[in-house]
Amino acid sequence: MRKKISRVDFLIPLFVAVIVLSLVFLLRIFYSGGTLQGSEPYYNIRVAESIAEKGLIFRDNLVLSSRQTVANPFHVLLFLSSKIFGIGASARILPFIFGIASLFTFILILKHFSLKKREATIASILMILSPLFIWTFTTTTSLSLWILLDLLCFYFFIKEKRIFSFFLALLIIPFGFTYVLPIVLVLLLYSISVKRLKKSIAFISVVLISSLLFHTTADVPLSASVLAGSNYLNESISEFGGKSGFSPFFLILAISGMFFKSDSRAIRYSYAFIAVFLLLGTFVSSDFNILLCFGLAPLAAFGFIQTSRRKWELGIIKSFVLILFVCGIMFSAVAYSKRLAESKPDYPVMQSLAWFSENSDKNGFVFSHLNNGFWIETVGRSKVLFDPLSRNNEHNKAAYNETLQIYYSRNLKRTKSLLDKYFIKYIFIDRSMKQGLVWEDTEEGLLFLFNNNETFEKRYGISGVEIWEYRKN
Amino acid sequence: MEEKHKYIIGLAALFLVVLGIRFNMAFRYSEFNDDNAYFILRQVEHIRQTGLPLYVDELSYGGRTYIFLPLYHYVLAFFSLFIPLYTLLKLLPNIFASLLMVVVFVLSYEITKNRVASLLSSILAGFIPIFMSETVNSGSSSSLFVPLSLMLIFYYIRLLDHKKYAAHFAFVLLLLILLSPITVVFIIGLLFYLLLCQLERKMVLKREYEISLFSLIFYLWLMFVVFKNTLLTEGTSFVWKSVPSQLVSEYFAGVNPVFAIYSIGALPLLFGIHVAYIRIFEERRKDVFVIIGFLISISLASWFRIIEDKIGLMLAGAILCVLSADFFRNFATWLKKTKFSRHGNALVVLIFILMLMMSIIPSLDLSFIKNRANTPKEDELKAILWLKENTEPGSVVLASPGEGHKISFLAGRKNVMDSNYNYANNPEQRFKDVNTIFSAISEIEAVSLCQKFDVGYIYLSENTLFELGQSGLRFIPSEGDNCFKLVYDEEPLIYKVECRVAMSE
Repeated sequence: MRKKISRVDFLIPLFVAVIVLSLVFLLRIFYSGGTLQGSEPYYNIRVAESIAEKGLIFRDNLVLSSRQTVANPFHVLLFLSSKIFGIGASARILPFIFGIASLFTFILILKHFSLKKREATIASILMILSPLFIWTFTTTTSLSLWILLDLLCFYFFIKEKRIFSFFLALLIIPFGFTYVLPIVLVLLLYSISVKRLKKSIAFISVVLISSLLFHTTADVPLSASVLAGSNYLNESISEFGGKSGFSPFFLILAISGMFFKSDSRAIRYSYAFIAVFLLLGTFVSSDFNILLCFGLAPLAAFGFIQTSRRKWELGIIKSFVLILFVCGIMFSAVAYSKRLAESKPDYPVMQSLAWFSENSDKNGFVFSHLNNGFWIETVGRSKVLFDPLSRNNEHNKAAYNETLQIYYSRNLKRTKSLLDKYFIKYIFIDRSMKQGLVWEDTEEGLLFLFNNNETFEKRYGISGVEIWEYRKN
Repeated sequence: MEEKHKYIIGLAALFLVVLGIRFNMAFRYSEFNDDNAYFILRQVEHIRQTGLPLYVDELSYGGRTYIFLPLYHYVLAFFSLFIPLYTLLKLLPNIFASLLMVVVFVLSYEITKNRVASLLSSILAGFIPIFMSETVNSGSSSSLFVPLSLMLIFYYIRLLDHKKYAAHFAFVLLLLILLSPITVVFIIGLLFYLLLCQLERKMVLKREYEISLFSLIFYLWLMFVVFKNTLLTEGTSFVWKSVPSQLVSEYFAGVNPVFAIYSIGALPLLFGIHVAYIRIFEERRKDVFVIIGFLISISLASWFRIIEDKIGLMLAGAILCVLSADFFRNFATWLKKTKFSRHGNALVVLIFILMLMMSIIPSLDLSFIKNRANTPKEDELKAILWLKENTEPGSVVLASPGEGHKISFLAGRKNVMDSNYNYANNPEQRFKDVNTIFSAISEIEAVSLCQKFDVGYIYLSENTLFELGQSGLRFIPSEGDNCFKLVYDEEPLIYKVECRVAMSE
């Protein structure tokens, strides 16, 4: 007799999720003093903090060529939550809550599709141990709410509660037009698979048109991707250094799941689902992989269960293979968690920026690698020439290429003219910039020019972080 | 005497002949004809002293981390307890390489069940020109990798009949994976084999899928564990060894047909391709599909620059020798039906003459050329010894990348660049800078770049000048003071860098 999912069956995945997500948080405290990992969280915090005085749509003037910024529902929730818990706690709690809620919704969706208890539990656990899940729900990223809204929108759609589904789809719109596409495509594929396209086409069209209208009238970029990766393959496999990504063993299990269930109609639609997301990922953003991960988790569960259930000719090989799968998935999760815990920014960077926010003149820009941009803006409360979102702005390219000369030129006159041209008052340097991100040698370019005490004064220098003031006169 | 014992004795005799030839060529010179041999020597010495490979290398690239698979080095370290290291590095690789003949014989017999054909193919295997030239005096791990690869194929074919060989297969796979990451070529080969079986509607046994899945998962898992940090920093470009684009043509020249014929030998190439064609399109036999699957994988891996050309040619050559056994067997069967059967002995002599001309002589020729061109000569050794005795420990010596390991091992000094490009910080730019120093016209440019790498000495060998097409350093003025003092004036020249660049206003 098929066992249906009951309330009790949520407990195991919930327990695993709490352990895994808490582990990253604890490791982060141990390795990096508890600072929020990554760049995007600081951007999100600043947008949330700006809502009170600037509203939901405003011009961000803390960067060269100020840009239009739209607060999405994540920023609004972060702002509201910060009124009760403070911004720091909210930035940590919200993604965690969204992760648990997403997991819950995912299990409800699996229940709707009559997945067996064992399959649903294993799918959930594989999902939780995926670097994509770990990153999304331990980092203060808009994606954590976006994925929850997508899952809820899909859940209510399949339950024929269109009003709720429509409302949730509208909430997704402010994330960016490209962030509406995945859910629209998923709903479309689902409607085709259950032969209810005619009933759903109006719903989907209204969502798409609303999104287009919103983005054209609000004058926001079509894609709000903060950290666009350059190589989809590298970004999509966590072991290849991407910001998150799939575990290769998860992918192999998913492929084997497709192979074992190849006669199922649902699997044929899953090929289309995967193809759509691969295209989106390649040409738009690898951020959508988290949604793909939710889609592949049941397949990976099938793959694992079928691999363990089948009678193998080589019994010992079967044991090895299962052990390797388990070790591989665990290894990916543990290695990724450690990498996340050790990732930038570290405590010395945050400490230096906190000092800087109180001991600097706010006129003039801070010059640093664009990866440091959000930290300087949010913690240092200063203007920067470039931040990670500057990559999306074509107008900045010429300025960016020109300012690269500041790093590498040993000609003091030339460097000074560039510093004057861009109103640069401070230069922020962290350890990674000296260890290959910008320079390879201790006497290269600008580092060599710092020997000139009349032009440059070192205002801060602790634990490999340096802040230099440029004395114009 | 039993029939099969005659062939075993014959094989043993051939093995000893090939081994003798190899020893003769290897011990003719005191040094090695490949710079990588010196890297191996340093690693083996370190393993003997500490029990661990030298992953954090203070001398390479002025100091960096280099992760690699150390099984080969551990094997050498073990034997170095009984045999002096230099002698061992000439002895053991040649023994491994000569064993290829035995493996080819065994594998060929498995396919053809014909001892004569197998013996003929093993002779071809003993004289694969590129395999001999690359392994005779280089200490290369390919000497072990190639025979083990064929053993893997052998156990897979055995597995088709008896499932007890799964353990043997798994063990050899483990050894191969611990030897080199290019084992992936065989994993992909298995997938091609399964695909061929599907296309030809051949029944694939359950255990074949099982062992293939196991091979893939095991390989991936081990690679991710060992090369975790390399993959994180280099991503997929790790697969292409981070070879600077200026050197890609040296490692991945693309196989041109004439070079392929000369490197593999015309006979194995022709016979092997003929058999592959017959087996794919006419008489479709599963065991031969295994070999063809691997051959396709090796060819594609070479094409896509996943493996170096020379390694691809070595592996392909060995596999084609195995396929040649099938040709010899079929040829013998055909011959018996024709009137030429009366001239059987003459034909055998003809085959031997062809082997001599197209395999044996090219093998010896290529090996001699490589030995003569690349083995350090007395004057080079003298110059490197001078560096060791007259420069401060910790000095950085600029030489061409092909000499980096030699400088580090023999002189014990830091190099600016060597041939281990993985893990190096921006090898492309570094190679460009090194070339710029050697070919610079402006002294300031040369001094500035030397300062970038903290170069204390420049080692200018004839090989470097030949590669650059120059007669000397162009930024050295003919008269007057300059920043580069000639401190060793016999070939190769050694210059000391005496200036540093100051700030400009």
